[in-house]
Amino acid sequence: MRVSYEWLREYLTIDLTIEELAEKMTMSGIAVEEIEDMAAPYQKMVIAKVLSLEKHREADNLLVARLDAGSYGKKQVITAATNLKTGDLVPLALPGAVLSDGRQIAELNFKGVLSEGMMCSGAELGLEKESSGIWIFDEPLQPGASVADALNSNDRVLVLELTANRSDCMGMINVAREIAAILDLPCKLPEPILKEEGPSITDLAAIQIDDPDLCPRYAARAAIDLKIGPSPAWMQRRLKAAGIRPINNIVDITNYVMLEYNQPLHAFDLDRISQGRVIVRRARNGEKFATLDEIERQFTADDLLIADPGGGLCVAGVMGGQSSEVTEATVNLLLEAAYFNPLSIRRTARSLGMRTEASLRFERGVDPNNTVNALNRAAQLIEILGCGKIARGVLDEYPQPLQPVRIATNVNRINAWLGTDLTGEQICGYLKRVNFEVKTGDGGRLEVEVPTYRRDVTQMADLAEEVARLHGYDRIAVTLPESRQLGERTPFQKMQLDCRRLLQGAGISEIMTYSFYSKKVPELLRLTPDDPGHKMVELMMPLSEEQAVMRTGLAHGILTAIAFNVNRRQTDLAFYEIGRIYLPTGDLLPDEPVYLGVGLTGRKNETGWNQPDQEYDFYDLKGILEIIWDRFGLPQPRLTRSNRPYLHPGQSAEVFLGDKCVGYLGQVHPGVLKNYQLTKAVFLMELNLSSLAELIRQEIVFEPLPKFPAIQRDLALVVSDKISADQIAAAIKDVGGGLTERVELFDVYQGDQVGPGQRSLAFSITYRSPEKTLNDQEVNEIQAKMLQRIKEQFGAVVRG
Amino acid sequence: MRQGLEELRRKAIQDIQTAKDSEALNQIRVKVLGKKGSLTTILRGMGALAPEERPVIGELANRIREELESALEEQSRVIAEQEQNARLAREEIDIFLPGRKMKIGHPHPLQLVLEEIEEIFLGMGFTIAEGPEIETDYYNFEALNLPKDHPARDMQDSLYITPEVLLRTHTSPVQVRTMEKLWPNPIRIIAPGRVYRRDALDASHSPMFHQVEGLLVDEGITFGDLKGVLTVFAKKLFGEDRQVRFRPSFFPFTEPSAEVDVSCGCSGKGCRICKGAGWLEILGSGSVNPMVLRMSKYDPDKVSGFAFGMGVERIAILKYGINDIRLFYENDARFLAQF
Repeated sequence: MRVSYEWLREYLTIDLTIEELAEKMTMSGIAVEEIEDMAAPYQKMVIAKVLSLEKHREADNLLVARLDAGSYGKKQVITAATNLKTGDLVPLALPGAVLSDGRQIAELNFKGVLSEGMMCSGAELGLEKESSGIWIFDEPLQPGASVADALNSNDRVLVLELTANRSDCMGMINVAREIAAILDLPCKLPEPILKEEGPSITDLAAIQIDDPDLCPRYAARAAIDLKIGPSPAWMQRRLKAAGIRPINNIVDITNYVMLEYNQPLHAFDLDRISQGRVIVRRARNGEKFATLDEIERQFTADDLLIADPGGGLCVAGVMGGQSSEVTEATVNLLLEAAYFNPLSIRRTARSLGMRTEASLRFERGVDPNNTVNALNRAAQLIEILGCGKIARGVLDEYPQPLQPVRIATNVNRINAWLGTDLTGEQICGYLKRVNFEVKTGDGGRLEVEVPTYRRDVTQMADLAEEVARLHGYDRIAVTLPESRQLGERTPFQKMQLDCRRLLQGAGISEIMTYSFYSKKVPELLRLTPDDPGHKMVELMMPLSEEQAVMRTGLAHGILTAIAFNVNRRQTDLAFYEIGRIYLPTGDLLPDEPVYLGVGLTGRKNETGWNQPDQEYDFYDLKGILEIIWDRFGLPQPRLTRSNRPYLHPGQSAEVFLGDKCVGYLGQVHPGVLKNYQLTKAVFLMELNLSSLAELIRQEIVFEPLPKFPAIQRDLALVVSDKISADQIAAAIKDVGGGLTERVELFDVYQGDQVGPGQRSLAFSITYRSPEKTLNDQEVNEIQAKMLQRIKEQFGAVVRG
Repeated sequence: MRQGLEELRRKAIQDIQTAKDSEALNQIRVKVLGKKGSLTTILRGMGALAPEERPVIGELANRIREELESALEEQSRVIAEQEQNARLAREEIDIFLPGRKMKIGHPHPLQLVLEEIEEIFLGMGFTIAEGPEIETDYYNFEALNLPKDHPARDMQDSLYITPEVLLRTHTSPVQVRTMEKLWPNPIRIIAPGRVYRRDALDASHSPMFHQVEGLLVDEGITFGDLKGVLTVFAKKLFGEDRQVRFRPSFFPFTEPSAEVDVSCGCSGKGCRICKGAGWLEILGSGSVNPMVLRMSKYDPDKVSGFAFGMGVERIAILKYGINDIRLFYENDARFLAQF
């Protein structure tokens, strides 16, 4: 809402500066977004008188004008305009001025002649759409006077940013009431008095409401002997300040009253309403007519129309129709002021894609008890401005009048809600300032009647808000409520935090990527058409192709982030993301497990003169898996070879806990890298943190440090390369019972010395007893048993 | 003989003191004190001495031996120290060359801000609640006093999965889920998470962003308590020297409602961040609307509460002076390395 300050002061006498007023309004709930100066477009523009006009020496089509700019001195300006004569008063833009199209004026040299500014056309001043020639002022003006003064454009506009509950302030009168309440001032509102010199309205028109659910009230007045012409300058100025283009006196009056009363009015050419009979009814499915914007529109039974016996005239509350439009030829007029169901207007405006000043107001709900007041005001203006004669009486169909809301509460409830200690008198005072009627009773009882233009107020808490904002939020004392609980994170929240710390310590940085992506992602990841990965949660109307489905994994986000950096020549990257993925279920809502994704590529050390030049490989990724397992005390995972199509078949693994797959790790398939325009190897891991969380070690139990020394033995075996080192290590531990403290693989060899299909695995085994110092003989015995078992089970032999 | 001994002593001391390294010193030791050394050789001539002279010379010889031994020891220490110093000197390196940095990972700035917000509320007895990002229309709108056809829930503003399911547009549905779960107990939670709006991506809008919601419901909670908790929060997050102000506003699920502003670090002199306003809007808040309490079975005549919500991106932008929201999701390594 744009509030003309000049207009506002018709209702109120304000002692504050406009800036102070804006601050008070903002701090009381009516936010002022901006104060617009209507003189601003005319900065550095002054009135100048043409002293002489001569042809430019070098250019036939240009004139050199000598101008008298009063206190700004004599100026010389070049122009191509041909409509000037000596003595004309023209607008002169001096160097530094900015035209409405954004052009900046500066001194310019035109073929050897200096131009010290520019004379403006009406279009350049923003006064008309198109101009031929320079704007010439008719009225006598002093050279040197400001153009803003000459155009009477000195108003300032408070641009309000209204919250959804205060649409009442889309009308000047309600804004004035609100400011009167904030500043505790009296407020003088218009009280239209009418002459009604025309015939009785009942002889001219009739109203019939067929669908009162969508139109609870419909009122009308009529005027005859219209003289259509421009509206007076003051009205045009106020409309422009509010952002509405003046059209003619009748249309301008309806717009003016809408802005003043927050009640949209509609003007019909009465002679073009068949039999003068107005019928308010739902449209018939498929019914059509052309609206004012010259578009033929089609309606459904959800849309409310204003019709006559011959058919639809107007889309109720949204836009008028061409057939009954007021034109220069209009002689007799019917003025409508109605109250329409907000939801119905909203639906119709949306389905037709038409948002008008009227529909905006009806959607948010106007005051049904204000319709006749607005009609009277419009009629009064028609009379005063000599546009026509007003017919006697009002047509008013209002089957079920809206009663004001009554709220019963008491002083203590309001104080308890706010944390204040206000007296009953103070509270009543604030409520009366916003024109609420208050009856007081015993024990602080309050019975409050809310005016129907404040339809946002329905309950005690709403009254508390009125009191709080008029009292001042800043005057409510600050208190701290005692806590009855300890603030702490859940174990899973702690786990995620620990995981972040661990990975950061391992040199991996956190990234965040979008939860949605393109439907093409499964294709980028080389999923086959029958892969269950194609099952994704789809958006009904995505913003773009790139945001069409919810992610079912973190791989795409990580690869996209890596590609983004590689394109910027940053090729050594270690990223992780912890976030939800979204898996369709048979239920209403999908599953949203939390996943950890890790992506590694390039060199694993910082670069520098003394840094080793090593690149990430599969085992770095597996090492990360292992530190996570160690950190959270997770049960031993089981790895199997992975056949995910986006991974390198020889360098990838599925991670199982029991028979549940909790993730995967591996090198990204080169075919996928190509889809992301990547060339260097990338290693990717995803783990389902939600499933891991159920298995983490809850408590750390201290194990006493060993009392007896250990014996260390190395064991190098030659065995088939189909046998995993894990299997052998498990067998070693098993045979050793409680005495093998640690089994570590320290060397792997495959090559000429061990023969094809074989490899050598070297283990370092630590033996220790918790009860005594072991001797060589005891260890030899265990190791002999161990070799026997490994030989039988795996066909392994000791490497000679 | 006495003279011979004295001469040996003088010569040996001189040799010892001028010895350059432990090798030279060792040769002296052998040459003088060894079995075939010069001292032994002289003492072999003892037999030719008068019997009364023998003990005197013997004593002298022993004294000289002791003296030479201690001189050898002393010189050996001196040489060892010299050798150590020489080695240390040889081992000098250029300490001005750069060190070998360990690679460390960085937290994402949004996570950094999120944890900071969480810590402040954990300290005030709040726990952290979570809820689904893909939500039903009921929890996202209806239960928050945003009935169907309410202007604030335009199809245009939300991303729907089905007519009944959408990407949550705020973290507020967690309020409702928590009230349903904890009824009739008191509530003190914050709920961080991702939210989604139908906004095209540009420097200041993102279709996905993060919010932190808060809800406190208990007996006797007032608007003054809201002011207290959020003032503590704003000052902890932005600095004790900042001013905090509460500005009337409107949200369908709170009544009264307030926007919370903190004074800008420029103290109102005007800067790029506050654009000269002097105040930074950081969160929306209000006393829980009795209608919302009632929908979740709490009795607004017995309990009351307040709720608040803030955008994490916005706070990170204000805290770090970041000028483009897209930076958070591009994950440029040079951006991440700054946190």
